[in-house]
Amino acid sequence: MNNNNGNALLSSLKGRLEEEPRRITEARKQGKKVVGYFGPYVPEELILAAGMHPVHLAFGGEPEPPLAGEAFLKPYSCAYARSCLGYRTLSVNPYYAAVDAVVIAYTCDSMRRVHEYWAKYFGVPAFALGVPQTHDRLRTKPQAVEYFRSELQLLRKRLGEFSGNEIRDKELYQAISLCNLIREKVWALYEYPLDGRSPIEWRDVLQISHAGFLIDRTDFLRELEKISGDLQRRNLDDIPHDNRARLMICGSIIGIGDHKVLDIVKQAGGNIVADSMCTGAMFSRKNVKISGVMGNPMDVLAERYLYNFPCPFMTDIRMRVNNIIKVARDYQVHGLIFYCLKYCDDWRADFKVIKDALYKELSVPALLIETEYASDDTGTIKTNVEAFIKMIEGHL
Amino acid sequence: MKWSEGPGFNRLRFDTELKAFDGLMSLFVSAADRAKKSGKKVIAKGPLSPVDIIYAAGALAYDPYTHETIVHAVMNETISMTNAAVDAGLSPDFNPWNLMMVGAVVSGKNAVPIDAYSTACGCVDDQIKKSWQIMAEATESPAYFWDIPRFDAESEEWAIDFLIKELRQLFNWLTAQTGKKVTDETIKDAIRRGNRLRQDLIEINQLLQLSPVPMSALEYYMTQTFIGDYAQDTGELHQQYQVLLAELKKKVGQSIPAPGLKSPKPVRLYFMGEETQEFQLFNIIEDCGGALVGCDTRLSLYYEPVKEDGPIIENLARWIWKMPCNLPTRERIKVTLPHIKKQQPDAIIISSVVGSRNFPGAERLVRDMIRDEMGIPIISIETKLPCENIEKVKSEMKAFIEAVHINPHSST
Repeated sequence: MNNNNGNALLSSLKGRLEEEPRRITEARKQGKKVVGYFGPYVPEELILAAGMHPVHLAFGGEPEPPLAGEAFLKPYSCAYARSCLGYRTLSVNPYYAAVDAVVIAYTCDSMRRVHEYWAKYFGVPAFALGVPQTHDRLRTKPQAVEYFRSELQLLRKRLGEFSGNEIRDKELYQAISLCNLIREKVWALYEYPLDGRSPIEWRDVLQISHAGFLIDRTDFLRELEKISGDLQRRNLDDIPHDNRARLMICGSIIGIGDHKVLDIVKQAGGNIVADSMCTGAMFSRKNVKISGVMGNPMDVLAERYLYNFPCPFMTDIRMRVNNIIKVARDYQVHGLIFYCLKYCDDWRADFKVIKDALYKELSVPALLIETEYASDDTGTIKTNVEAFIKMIEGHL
Repeated sequence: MKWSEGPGFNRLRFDTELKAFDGLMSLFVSAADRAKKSGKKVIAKGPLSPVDIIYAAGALAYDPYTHETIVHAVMNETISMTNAAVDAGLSPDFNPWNLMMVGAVVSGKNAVPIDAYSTACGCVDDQIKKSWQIMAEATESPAYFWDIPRFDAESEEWAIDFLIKELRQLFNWLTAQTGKKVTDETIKDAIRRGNRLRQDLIEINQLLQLSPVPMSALEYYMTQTFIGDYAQDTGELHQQYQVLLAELKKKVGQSIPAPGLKSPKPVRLYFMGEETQEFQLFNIIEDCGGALVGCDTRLSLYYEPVKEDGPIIENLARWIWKMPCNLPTRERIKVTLPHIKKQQPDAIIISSVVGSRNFPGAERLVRDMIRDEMGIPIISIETKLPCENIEKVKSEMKAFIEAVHINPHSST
């Protein structure tokens, strides 16, 4: 799909997104609370069910916030974690400024610190959520999901107290249903590039998905329905087959606004068709199962959020590798871009295992890109990406 | 070759008058031989992963993070080994402890043979967990991870329940590795032995509360690191600690200061944060007119004894959950402060290792909280591999200790 088509498709959503900071300000004046959250383990259903507005604070890509974050974290911590603090310090981003509270999942070393600094220095309640690390795909540790459910229950209680609205099952089921619909629609968009003739590019889907981290979720669903309808009306036969090298991207978080590497790949002639990232398709990968025999909503939330895609701070590396191989196979990719924020230890240490496994299983090569948000390494990355794509094209 | 003749140790000034320290170091360097002769399985564990668990299974606990780095980087200065760690998958941006350890293990040059890898995850350090995965994968050895949940007073009930179940599974895994069944009795016995060592270290610290300080900085720093794996022999380490205590008490009785002290009235310094492999720092502290009166790098392993009466696994779980290293920074400081205050420091050194994310990430918070609570001068230092930035550290320490001498109530 060319850029003009993409722009037309997303124009309504973009317009809606631009309005969001003003709407949030208005809503807050009316007494609505805004709760920011960090990480894919925080169920936004709980925030919605408490009558509050969830904002997934996943911005990245700008060089100033990580610098400002160095007032708290060392320069040798990842740029995203530093940004989580820097955005609030700089007051340049309306979402970080607007939150009345934050929820932070205890994941990697740096994000645990992000929680502590928000709690002590930023004047808003910061709720922590414990997440087990050693549970596995074979479910040999039932205590992990029991523990996580209890942590979610505690979060539910705290959010209820904070909002002044006790979270009842009825509202929680409604919130789960809304989020499930959103996940289904976004996931369907991510599936378009399975085909070589896709009416939408992966990168546009990422952009749509990121908009959904911010805007009112009911409005977002409406926008998704418009986009889905528009895409369904298109005749795929009219779309020429895309012959560019098909790439997959995985690794550290690609924040909202983090374009550097994506731009370089595009300029080098690569076509990213799939991902395995917590701010990408993995965010919408799995629904909360409320159909059939419904148990306690906390059971199904715990199940979905703990056993979605294991972040690299979790020890089940095989599940991670299997997922990446599956996506690479399904989308018939020719190469993997491994995006690693410098000092993101968990992803960085997984690179060799993932690279070796992907090559062994599918003969798909991987390129490691270690970077930060500043632009000084753009030239080097460009050279490496171009060489990588040329190498792939030589085998097509 | 005697342990003190290692090329890296030649740079250091040891207290040759302290006879017991020679015994401790001999125990340290003989670890490999003793492990082989024992016929027991050697389980590698992270530096702050509790030890009693492994001894309860009839295996030997081994802390390669500390041991391999001291042997290869500090003692023998073979730091090129870090390249092997990078080849194995570690980022060169990892902290040098992990790089040295993984380098030694994946290149087959580890000082102590390792049969299996098991360490605690949770709030400790992500790099440790990743290093354990890489070492186990590279050496095709079994690996097992267990989880310590985050501390929150409101989550105590389910956190302890979770940890008890984690420990039970860990004991089953250890039984499978060693062929020896772990029972309440074996756990109690291991804890009882561990408590003796914890008590030894508490007493050694008590002697450092006195003036003149009877033990030199470097010897104290190394002595307390042995609690990390009990030097593969709980009984022998206890015996050596007892000899040390007797020697130190004799010095105290005669008011003999540690020979390393250069000033008749040294600035009393407490070292907190992350363990450094820049051992020259401890000589520098004394050269600049300071004395080391305490250190919290291994405090988590002896902050209090494990309760021996009652349900033993639950006691262990409760003790582990509240180990200072597993607590959020605010709670960690609350638990650590009474220990620091007892040592009566004039100033605090906060240590970070470049490349670590765990403690350095909390350094600002620690600094602010210590300043608020104690109002004494604080210096933050960063170290790397041995000798890598020694001149910078030296100038900083010199200026700091001088400043504290002139104005003891200033904050840095």
